[in-house]
Amino acid sequence: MNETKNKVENFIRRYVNIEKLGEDDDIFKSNIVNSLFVMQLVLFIEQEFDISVDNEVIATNDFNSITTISKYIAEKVDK
Amino acid sequence: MNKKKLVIWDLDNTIWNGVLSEDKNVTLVDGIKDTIIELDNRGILQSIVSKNNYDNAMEKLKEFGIDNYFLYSAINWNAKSQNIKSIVKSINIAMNTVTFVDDQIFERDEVKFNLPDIQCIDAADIKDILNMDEMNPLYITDDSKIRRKLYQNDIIRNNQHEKFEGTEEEFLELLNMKMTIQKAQEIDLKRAEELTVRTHQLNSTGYTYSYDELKSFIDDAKCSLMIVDLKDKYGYYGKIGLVLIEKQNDIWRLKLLLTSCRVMNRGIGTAILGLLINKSIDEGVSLEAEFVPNDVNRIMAITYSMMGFKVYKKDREKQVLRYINNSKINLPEYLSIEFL
Repeated sequence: MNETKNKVENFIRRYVNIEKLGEDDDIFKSNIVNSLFVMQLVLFIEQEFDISVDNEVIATNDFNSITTISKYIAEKVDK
Repeated sequence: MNKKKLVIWDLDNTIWNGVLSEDKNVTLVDGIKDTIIELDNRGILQSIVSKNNYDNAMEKLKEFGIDNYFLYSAINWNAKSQNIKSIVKSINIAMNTVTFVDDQIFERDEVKFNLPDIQCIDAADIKDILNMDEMNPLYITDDSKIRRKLYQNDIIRNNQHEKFEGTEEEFLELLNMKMTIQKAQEIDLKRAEELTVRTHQLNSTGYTYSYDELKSFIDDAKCSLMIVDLKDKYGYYGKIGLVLIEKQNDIWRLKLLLTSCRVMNRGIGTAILGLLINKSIDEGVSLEAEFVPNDVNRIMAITYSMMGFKVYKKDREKQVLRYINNSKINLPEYLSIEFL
């Protein structure tokens, strides 16, 4: 799970310029990310973990922070 | 056969007679300047891929008075397919809307082998180009005539962006963007039709509408057809967005939302949606949106999700989404929006 979190965090940090991004911070609040970036994030996750991400879960409480995104990935990978 | 958006030319024995590196006194092929100008008028972009010395080639093009017609020219000794890939990526169009013209069969073969979707034409057939169906767009709009200049503005913007040392948001603020959304008039309809036919990635439904269908929406009191244009300190982007809303009882249904790829990453689609959400709340109506997923418009699904829309109904390929929050959206500060 930590490895998943690290991969997700590293991807986000490569594109997004924020010093203090907490793992529970909602990345969709306050214009940190735009839809183009989110598209790239989703494609990265799908390729890296070989899962498919439901469009509808994006930006909900189940997919809005490093923690929740990693949890979503872990659950999908287990299936 | 797809309408072409980009023609890529070779130079030696294609645009000019002879080989520049062997003889500086090359002459333009008969009629080529007129062809280049006509394609430009039709809104078809042009570029160059040639194995030559860049400076000498550009100087010669300047001498002929045509250097300004070409974008992202790649004049070097690399494989032509690689250069073409790069150019097409910069312009952000599909490979099957690109044509490559070269006198040498091995170059055309190399390109075709690596980029099977591209159309290759022998320089010997240049005189037929203007008559080809693929080179005749359905409409020539005001935006088509200035399309090259719009892309040239984009190049300047992107250069500034690359040099910029600050956050994305700071760059967007510096651009001083002004977006205008207003009811479409009849003069906008050609461009509106062009947008429905040309726009794929940032198109929520992929529906195309004819000029007549769009005109009927203008005349229908239950419909609101709006055209969006954008400018910033580097110049005009053109008419880059289209919105069609159907109003029934207490529901506004967004039947179409599309924005030109050229304004991707400026937050325009999001700003338009945010504005519509806020207006719907002011009017006390529900806001729905139709969405038809296809191979290329997933970013629209993501945008809707990010803005707070959820799938409400599904009817085969068509989904109806609904804005489920009660709260207004904070519109981005870097964008000045005029809603007329």
